[in-house]
Amino acid sequence: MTDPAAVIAPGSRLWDVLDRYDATGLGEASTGDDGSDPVARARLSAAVSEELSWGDVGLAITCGMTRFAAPWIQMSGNNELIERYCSPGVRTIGCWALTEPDHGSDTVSFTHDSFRDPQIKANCVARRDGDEYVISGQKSGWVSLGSIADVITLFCTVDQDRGHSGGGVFVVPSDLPGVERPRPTDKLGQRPLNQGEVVFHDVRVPADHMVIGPDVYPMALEGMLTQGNIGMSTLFVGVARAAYDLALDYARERVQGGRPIIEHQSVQSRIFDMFRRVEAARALTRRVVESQAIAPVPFQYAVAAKTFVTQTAFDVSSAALQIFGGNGLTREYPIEKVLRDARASMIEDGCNEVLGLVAAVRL
Amino acid sequence: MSVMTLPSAHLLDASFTDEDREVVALAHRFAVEVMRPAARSSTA
Repeated sequence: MTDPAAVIAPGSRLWDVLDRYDATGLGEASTGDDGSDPVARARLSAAVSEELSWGDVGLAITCGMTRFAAPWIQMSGNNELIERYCSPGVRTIGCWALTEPDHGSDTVSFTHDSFRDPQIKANCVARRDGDEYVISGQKSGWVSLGSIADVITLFCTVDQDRGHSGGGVFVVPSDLPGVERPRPTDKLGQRPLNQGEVVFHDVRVPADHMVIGPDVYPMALEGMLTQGNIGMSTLFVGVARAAYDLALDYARERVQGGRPIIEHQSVQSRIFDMFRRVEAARALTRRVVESQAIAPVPFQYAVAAKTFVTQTAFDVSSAALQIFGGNGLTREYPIEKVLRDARASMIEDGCNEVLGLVAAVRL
Repeated sequence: MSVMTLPSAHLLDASFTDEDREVVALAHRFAVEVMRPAARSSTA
């Protein structure tokens, strides 16, 4: 497998993919505000997301993150930042730095008392110093695009007396003195998606780079997690469908007992089961996507979709690999890679079990 | 790309306009021609 550092090296295929993605105009085509029906636009965006992740979910997330930073930068009202990173034709890769080496689920458990416990100390803290904030500490190796982002959207603790609930959101250009990105993470799946640690060594940012303060941080975090979970749902419908499509194609080609295995009832039954799982995952996803286009979706609905869809992607991928038999275990066939991609999603953007516990409080 | 080549997964997306279908078809073509080969050859 390719070294994670080689994946993001200058001249790698990753940059060619991003160049060609920009050239398609797909980002604007499915998300631009052209005055059309917002529900129709959201539905189209979900379909595009499904197609891209059907191709490769790691690259689909990468392409999507080229649009992540702009809204946060705009919130700063800092014209210098806006001109540098949000001008037409400028590609700005963003990242969302939330989890920490010692705090994974801690950082998302906003409905639990532990979230407000000042005894639970964060690994990354910003403190006010005159007209600036000074950021010190570390974010985990799971910051997507962390190694290559131009701008870091940093969720970190500001008021330590409030525990993880006393956070803030900062816009941090990655070329500031003191920002260190030691190494990309070597991992099981979604290997085209760079993920890596970000370390802050007394990084100074102007006060206007804090776009969300502690008083509204829990609400902002919930909104971000809701949006992220809906996004994960759209992406992993595509992964589930990719697994189903691969299994169907293989079953039509593979001959055993003198006929294609699709003609064996056991295989037919399993293929249809995969089909209906994909359809159910898409239906639930579309429900939250279309609702979110009109009004904020309550957190528990987004979590229901994310946990259901990612579990479906894993189950369908595993069932697909079983249809491939021994061939599915080899790297000659693509299904093992889809299974690895799907497995990661059950932990990514919140471990499914913990997300369920956080959401259950809202029922 | 012709609207006829839209993946069958979107059979029930009856509300899509022809323009929407072209966008989805473009995304599918990008997935086939760019993303899958890139993932297979050098990054996955």
